[in-house]
Amino acid sequence: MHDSDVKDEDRALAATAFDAEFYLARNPDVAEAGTDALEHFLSGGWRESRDPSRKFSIASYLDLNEDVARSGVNPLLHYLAFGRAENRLVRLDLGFRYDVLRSAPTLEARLETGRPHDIAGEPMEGLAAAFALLGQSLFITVSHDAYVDSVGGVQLCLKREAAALAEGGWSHLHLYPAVPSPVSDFETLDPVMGVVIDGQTCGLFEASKIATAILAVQKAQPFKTVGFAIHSLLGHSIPSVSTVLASAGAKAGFLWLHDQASLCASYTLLRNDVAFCGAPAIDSQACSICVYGLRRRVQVADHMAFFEQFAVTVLAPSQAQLDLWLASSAYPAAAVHVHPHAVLNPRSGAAVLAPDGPLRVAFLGFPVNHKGWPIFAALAAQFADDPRYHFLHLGKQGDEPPGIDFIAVDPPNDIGDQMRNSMVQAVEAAGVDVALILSICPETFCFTAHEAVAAGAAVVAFADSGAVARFAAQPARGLVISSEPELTALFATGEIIALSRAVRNPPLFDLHYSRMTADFIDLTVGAIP
Amino acid sequence: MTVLCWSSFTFSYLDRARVLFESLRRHHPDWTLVALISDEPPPGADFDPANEPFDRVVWATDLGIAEYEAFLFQHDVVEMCTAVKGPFLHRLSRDPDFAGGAEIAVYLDPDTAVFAPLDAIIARLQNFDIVLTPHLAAPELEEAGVLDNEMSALRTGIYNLGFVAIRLGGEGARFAAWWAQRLLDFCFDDIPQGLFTDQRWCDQVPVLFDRVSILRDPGFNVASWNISRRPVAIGLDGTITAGGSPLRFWHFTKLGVVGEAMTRRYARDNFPVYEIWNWYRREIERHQEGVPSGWWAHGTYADGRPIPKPHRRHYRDSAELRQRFPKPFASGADSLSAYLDALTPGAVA
Repeated sequence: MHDSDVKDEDRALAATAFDAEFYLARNPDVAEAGTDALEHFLSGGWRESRDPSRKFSIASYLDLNEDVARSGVNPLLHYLAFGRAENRLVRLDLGFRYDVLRSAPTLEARLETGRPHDIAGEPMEGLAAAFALLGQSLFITVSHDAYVDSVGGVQLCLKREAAALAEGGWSHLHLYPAVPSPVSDFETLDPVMGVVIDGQTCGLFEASKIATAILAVQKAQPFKTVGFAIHSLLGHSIPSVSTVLASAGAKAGFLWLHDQASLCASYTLLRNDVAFCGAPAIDSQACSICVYGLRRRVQVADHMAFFEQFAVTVLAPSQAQLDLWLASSAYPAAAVHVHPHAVLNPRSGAAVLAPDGPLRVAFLGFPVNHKGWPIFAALAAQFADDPRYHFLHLGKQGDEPPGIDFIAVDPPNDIGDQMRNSMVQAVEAAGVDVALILSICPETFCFTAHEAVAAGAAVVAFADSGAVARFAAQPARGLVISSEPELTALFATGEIIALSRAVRNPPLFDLHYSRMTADFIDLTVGAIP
Repeated sequence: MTVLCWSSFTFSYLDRARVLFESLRRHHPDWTLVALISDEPPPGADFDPANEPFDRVVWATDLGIAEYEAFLFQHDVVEMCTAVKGPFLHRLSRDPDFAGGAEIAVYLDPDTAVFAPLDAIIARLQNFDIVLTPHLAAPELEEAGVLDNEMSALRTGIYNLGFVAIRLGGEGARFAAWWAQRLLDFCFDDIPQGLFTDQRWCDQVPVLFDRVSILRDPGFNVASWNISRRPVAIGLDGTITAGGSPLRFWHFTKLGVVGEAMTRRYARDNFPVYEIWNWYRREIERHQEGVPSGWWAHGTYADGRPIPKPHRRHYRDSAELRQRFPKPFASGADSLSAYLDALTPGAVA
């Protein structure tokens, strides 16, 4: 339907609030047709819910003003002529959490779509042949993926761990789930696992076959030493993992707290994927309305059985994580230790200073909700025209909203000891003053926070972000804030500028990476303390 | 104190009632739960009360309402489900066997759900005989809220009758007798006449009866119409609060787009509200079995034709019609339906 006779006074009124550039960018069909944007909007575009500017949403105005919807008048014209004077609501600020919740499918539906049903293991012969080559000392690691093919800070440390084991003469068996999943698997009776031996992928096999094959090796000649380290049980059936470990004769090993999966089926501890829950009692009201509530019961019970079967030493990559875990669980750990994946070593050299330019404010890494990307994007949108600030996103891939400049950074993939990795170099080169590490859930360890500070940037983090908050709270590292409004206020008042390089004159660091579990075992073959 | 808790509904609301009764079971395993049903099971439905999360079913047909069929025809589904609440409560108050020895009766709408024990209500009934909850317990701050919520309460009733609790004696019994009679006579959605089903009548309760307590605690009867003044928070200890008070029960009124729009309008970025609604939608989904959407055995004439609302109104307003057609649901020759159809268009409106 088209309104053919647009009145001149309506055209003049609409023009006061119409953003033609925005309209054409949003509506490529109009741009292609070469039609005048305002004319297109007035003559019918508004009926198709095409917004006249970033600031005015047709759908939102009609949703809030039913009388306008019923009247059939152009909502922008109504607003400009009457609504504004009547203090009508234009838009509801529902926040990104609303968007997550509005479209939230049930957890079971989500898991079902990601779960292929036709994965079958390979014949056992290949496995038996591979296992026949295992040496006298066996170290088994379990994680959510085949670390050899993946990139990322934790995977990098896993590679260092594997290298150290190899150097010490250990045979290294790594197991990962054939079907990745954000929760532990208690539906599959005999799940299929990927097998990696000494860095070589051997194929996919049913857990029962792996257990049988390793038991056969062990029966023929027991391993002199068997140890294990669990990096992640996501996607795994915990009872199946236990069976494999027991078949190899393992009695004691390590469990890493890389995520919160031992506390809840939400490995981020984000209740309904939107807010840090604090891992409350399993019978709490919060758990009763959370999509993870029911699975949490089983996942925690499976972990408990695991702790009861093996002597498990818990390794936390940060004190903050260990504190959270001890406060929120009742597992009978044999021992607990804190062992960070990386530490900062001072290095000589002067930081890049940018005394005259705007404050360079950056988001580092994957632009996902739980890392606070929507909060960063909203902040950047709000201060896009403010000459005091320049917003940047440093990461692998960018699809930036206006107001944010993207800088491509390859993920680190070098397993040397001293690291000035690609992210450190990029942060330094861009002269980033402040890295907003706005995780909305507790991080167990944060590589990006370390990389930011190593490169001379200050870190701003939320109080509930676990290891990031604890890191940022240390002297001269940055700032810990309690809420989104507090963050906005820092930018509105300009207080954030106190974190500029020019004011701080920051020292620089290198990252020294750990070898994870390899730092806890006597690498001389045959000795596990 | 022994407590009987009941809800009044038809089969299309069985899913909601199941969610309510399960939540009641969780928090009050000792209460007797009763389903008051103004309907007949849909054909082919395998309705077995033994498999439902309530202890007992009472059929509206068994309440002893005079000329039941004529009474039924005069009411649409909402009017009917609200009308029978009075006679049921009255019967509880005068028939201890029917009440199963209960001393307290609590009514909850089928679209409510309980999140924590309702002990505060029982405690109030130590000193009072009747407890009501208002739609609003704090003034609206924006004009939209005044228009939507305060003015709606002026039209439909100050107290929300999705909840009422009484002692089955004293002023509670007097209230039950009065309410039952009013609802038998005038339980209609007729706002111009000052009527809104069972609810508007109760505006008079605080002045007609003694020992009435108005429960203004924001944790009770949270709904889209009052959340603008009851921000919901979920603490790190897992406790849900509304307006700073522990959440007791929520009224999930209008499951669907209309309700969602109102919820958005007043919850804004108070996202725990959407978490709670999402939970409710999942629960409803989980309790769908045997629930035909839109089913009501008394929504149609015998030939299956939907009964137009004006037909019910016409019958209600005419003593002559009621006398002439004591079986109003019949179809065919000499039926009310045929008679009303034969009237000139516009005569029945």
